[in-house]
Amino acid sequence: MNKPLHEFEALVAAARSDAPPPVQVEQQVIAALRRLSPVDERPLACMAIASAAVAAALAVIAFAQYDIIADPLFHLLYSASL
Amino acid sequence: MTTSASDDCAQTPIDAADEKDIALALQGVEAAYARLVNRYEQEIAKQLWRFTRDPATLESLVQDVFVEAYISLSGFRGNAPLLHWLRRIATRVGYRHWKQEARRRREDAPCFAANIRRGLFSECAAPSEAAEYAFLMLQQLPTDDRLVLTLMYFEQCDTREIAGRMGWSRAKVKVRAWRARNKLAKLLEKEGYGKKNHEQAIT
Repeated sequence: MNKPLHEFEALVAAARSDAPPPVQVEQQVIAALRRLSPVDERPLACMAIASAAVAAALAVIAFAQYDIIADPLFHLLYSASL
Repeated sequence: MTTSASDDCAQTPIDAADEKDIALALQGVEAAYARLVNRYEQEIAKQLWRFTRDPATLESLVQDVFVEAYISLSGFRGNAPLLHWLRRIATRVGYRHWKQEARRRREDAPCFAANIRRGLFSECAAPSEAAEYAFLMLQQLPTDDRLVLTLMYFEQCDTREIAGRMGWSRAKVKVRAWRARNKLAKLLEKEGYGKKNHEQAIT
């Protein structure tokens, strides 16, 4: 085996038992995760969808009614019925 | 090179306490995830101590590992111990840290060789001193080479484990390891290691 590498491997064997300083990161991790969590927007999204659906239905009804009301014969026939 | 614990992980199921805490953590129970962090933070710190010798950076890297682990927790399949999965994340966090450091070093270009003292291999009294010298030698290598040798020498990982952790092919790891050892040998020879008389120290 290459002598320098052999010496290096002996060095690493000694180094393996080197321990890091103690760490305690659970509080910081939880704090970081809280900052990342998005606000639950599902209720707002549901309201927006429901409002849009009601608005679309009203628009369809309104356009249908407008067609009828805008017809000149409607007023004539309405008056005649009275 | 000895085989790593990766050979065991296929047979060893996930720990029952981990499984319970993971399930609770996925439901949003903070205390459960805090328990998981507390259980493995020192093991992950030991691994990341090979990636930095600065205690403040070490703490930051350990935090990053557990934040990333939480984000990916729903993807953890549970067919191997949680620690193996965390080690993969830690390896990538450490690797990313080296990449960022390498970009900064290119701007600063300090002389790392000046920190290495000749002739102290056999005289290293403390593991911390040995680790410091080994770290400084490996630091002179390109990042990918440094990673492969760090995992091989310090974590005693085989090529399969390294490939799995990094998402590399096994062939790539083998070639990288061979080249890295050659580069390291040349660096060591340049510093005077491997010669009979290597008493002179440089500061």
